[in-house]
Amino acid sequence: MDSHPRHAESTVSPDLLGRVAKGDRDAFSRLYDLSSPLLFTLALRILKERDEAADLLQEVYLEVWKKSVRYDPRRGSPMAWLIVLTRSRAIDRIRTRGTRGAKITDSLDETGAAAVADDDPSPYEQRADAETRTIVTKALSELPDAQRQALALAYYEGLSHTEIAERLSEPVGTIKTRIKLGMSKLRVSLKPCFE
Amino acid sequence: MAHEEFEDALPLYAIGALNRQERQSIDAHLLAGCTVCHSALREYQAATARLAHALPLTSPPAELKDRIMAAAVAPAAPPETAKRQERAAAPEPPAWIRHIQPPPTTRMIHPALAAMLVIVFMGVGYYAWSLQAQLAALTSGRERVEAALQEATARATALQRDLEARQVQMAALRAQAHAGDTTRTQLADREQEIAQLRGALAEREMETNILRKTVAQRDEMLTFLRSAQVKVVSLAGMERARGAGAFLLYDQDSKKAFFYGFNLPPLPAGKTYQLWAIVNRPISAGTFATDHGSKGRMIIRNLPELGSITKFAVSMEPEGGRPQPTGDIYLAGQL
Repeated sequence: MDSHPRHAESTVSPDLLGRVAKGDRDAFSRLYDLSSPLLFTLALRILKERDEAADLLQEVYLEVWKKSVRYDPRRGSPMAWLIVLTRSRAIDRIRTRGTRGAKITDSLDETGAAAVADDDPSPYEQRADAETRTIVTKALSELPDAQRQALALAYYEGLSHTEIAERLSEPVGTIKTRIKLGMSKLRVSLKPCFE
Repeated sequence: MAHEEFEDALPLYAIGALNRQERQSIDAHLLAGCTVCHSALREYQAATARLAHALPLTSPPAELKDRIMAAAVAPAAPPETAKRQERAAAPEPPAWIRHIQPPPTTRMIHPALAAMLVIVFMGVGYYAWSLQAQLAALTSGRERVEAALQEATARATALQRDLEARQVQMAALRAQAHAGDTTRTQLADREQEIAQLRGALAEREMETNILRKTVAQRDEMLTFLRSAQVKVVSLAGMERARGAGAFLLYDQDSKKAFFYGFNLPPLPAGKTYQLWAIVNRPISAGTFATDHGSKGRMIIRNLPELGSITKFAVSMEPEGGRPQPTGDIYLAGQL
């Protein structure tokens, strides 16, 4: 087993997922090594509880193990697919437990995950996909706080525009505008990552 | 809603900030094949999927991998049949349609929707049971039609023989035509009888053809329902037909599918329901009407590119159907 997870969007290849789909356990193990740090980070950011994030990750990987034939290269990178899957399942969980909204999170780059982050930094931080990380961090830092906050509440808390408006005591139209502006800027500035 | 409004809502759709009803409207717009929105949505979703890269990374617990690997018990070398079934059950997702947000799982749904789903699942159970009954009914129905076909064939053969005998008589009468008025009158009578017999024979042949077709259809359905490869996809009612639902049974090997819809709103005059298989774009799988019980049935042969279909949808279209969906979406289901 590779004990040094080197998550990298570019290294989770469609071919690797294809091998997982065929029941290749080595490929599955490799997929876990490459993708679990980012997926766990995302799950933790949404769920804010380490045990539950681990539990969710187990659910996601087993789903991938059983159903990864669903992945198609035309739909984007394998990592993007795994992220969508993890986020979706995590949001399902917070909706089920009904505890979302305990606290307003207004950042797209801290809270939950950072609060319980490992002391031991992942090798990911030092190597692969550093460029993507830099571009995304920069793009987010260029957004006004209010836009970042609206995006974080939608993406990490799973709130709709009306729920965000209620939470922040702002008009719905204002929230919609913030999300649209924020997303439009991200679409432009993150384009180098997915072209 | 105009196209601009849909396009305007795409950033909210991509980041998951729309409510269910708004999402469904956009799904329907995308299902209608708007390429501008597909391509914009792809970019918004690609951007959204990268947001997590800005988070400070945290390694998962060390023992998690062992737990997952232990739980991932081997479909290690699935037999060829199982592989085929897997492909049929989960064909690969195609282009834009797969950018539609993953459907919510049952754990996050509203209690009313949960109740509805329970009804749908009960419906699935009932339908599975009724399929067995249908199989038995089809088998005995086929036997009845087969008997009727044999009878009709025998009648047609007898008529054919009668017709041939009359034609022989006619030839004899013609040969005697010069013999006088009586023979000419007999000749006219025989010609009339022969014309009647020809009409009766044509009717029997038509009846025989219909019965043959019915036997062939029943044979096809019987083979289909007995196949171990058949998979089922359920389609749920959309905004315009919340109580409606449908099942699509399909067999990847024979490329055939059987569609069964229920509780569908009655069709206005000049309209039809049209089933769409969503690959890179919606592909028509045929049109169907509903019976008095608001049910619609259809056999689809040569389902296109089954391996890459991810969604099925039913829209209401002008009679005869359209090459691409133009009307409201009534049913949708994901593989």
